[in-house]
Amino acid sequence: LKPLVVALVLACAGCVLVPQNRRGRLADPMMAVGDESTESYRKQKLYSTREGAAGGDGATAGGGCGCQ
Amino acid sequence: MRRCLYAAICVATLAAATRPVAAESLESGLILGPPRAYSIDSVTARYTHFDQSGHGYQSQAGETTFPRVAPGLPGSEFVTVDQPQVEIVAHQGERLTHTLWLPVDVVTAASPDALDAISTASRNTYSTAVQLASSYQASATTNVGVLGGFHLEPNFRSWNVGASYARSLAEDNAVLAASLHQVYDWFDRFNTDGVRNGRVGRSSTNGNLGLTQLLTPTTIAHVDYGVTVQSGVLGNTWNAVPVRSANMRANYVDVELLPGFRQRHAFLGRLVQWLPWNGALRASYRFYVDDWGLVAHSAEAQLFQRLAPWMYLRFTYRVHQQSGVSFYTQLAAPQATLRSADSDLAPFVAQTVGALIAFDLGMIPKLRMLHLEVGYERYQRSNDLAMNIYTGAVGLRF
Repeated sequence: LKPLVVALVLACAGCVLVPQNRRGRLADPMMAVGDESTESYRKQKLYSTREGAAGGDGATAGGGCGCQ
Repeated sequence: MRRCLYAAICVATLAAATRPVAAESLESGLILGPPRAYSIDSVTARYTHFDQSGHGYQSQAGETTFPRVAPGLPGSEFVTVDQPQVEIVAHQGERLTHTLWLPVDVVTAASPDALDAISTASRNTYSTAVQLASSYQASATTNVGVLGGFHLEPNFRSWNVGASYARSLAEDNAVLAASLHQVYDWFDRFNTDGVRNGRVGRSSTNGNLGLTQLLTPTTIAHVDYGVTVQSGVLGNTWNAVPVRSANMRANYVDVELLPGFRQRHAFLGRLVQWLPWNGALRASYRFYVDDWGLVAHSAEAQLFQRLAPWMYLRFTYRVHQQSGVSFYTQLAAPQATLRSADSDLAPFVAQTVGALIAFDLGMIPKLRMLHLEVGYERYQRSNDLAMNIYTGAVGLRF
């Protein structure tokens, strides 16, 4: 848990208000926080069926397939 | 005098109240036209091919999946999966968004873990699912959503429902999101000889809490926590486990014995950073722990490089290390109450490397953008399993 707490504290320390007119870079598809949804499913299908440690990032850790 | 002034103010107020029709209409209605009752925003189609090879002790399959290997030896985990998907996103009015998603898996050697070791009946199989998610923009800062779907494959049925809530804070500099999902699976129970013994079920309940925060005009941070509680039959029922003979004769193969309950926790941290040479870096770390004794660390880095305004490259590297469940074994004691030889639950290190090229093409009639991408990944595990993954997608943005 320690790395997560450190990352959370660092993230909160950096919280600033970024005005709308300075968010141009963030609109680029390369800056998306997560994968596009069909790409995300493709990756989940691989990792949730071949590793025993699924879950997180808004996804359920098991169920919905004949695996675990 | 006062009466005249009062009357003048009243007339001016009435005039102001009736006048702005033309001026206000110019702002939206006359320029954009009335909002459409229903419009399709995007259609995305993706095709992925998985080509897996390797060996695991839970499998009884020979190299060609039939006949089965001798008891106590690892069997083949050869499998190929062709996975087409279609996703349609549509707006209904100004506040309601629907997302319809249809994935299909066409699987060759679906059950090298057991069934195909005694019968070739399920060597080629398929699964399909339908899911509809609807979200409502309740206010400028609040979005709520619901979803429902089902999954069908031979001898397996699954239903899922969910709800989500998202609220943006501090002038959209942060978004707090929460979601809840419930999945129920209902499937046939087989033993390691492929004999069917009725139907069983399992329940998976999942909750997630996430925060996305802008740190600078070029940096985004995201943290997420997810908990999943599962109960029921938590395996596929036909996984084999080599068992040591009690009277020192030949070892034999028996069924997997798993707990009927599992609580799983996953923590994720992600940072996305714009790079000055027209690139971007997306880095994430995930920590996982559950009450089966499995602890895992996963780190992933994706490096994007824009080559032109309409084209970019993406390179991926991911490493995953897991400890394995406490009852993993390659030769179980006959009196063991819990046992699994599933190579997916074993201790191992897995690495993924990949590359993808994407095109975003504008200037196409009736389309805002045409998105094309094609990519390849190689997944390699330290316990004798590897996979080649080929993927391609076409996205129409209206």
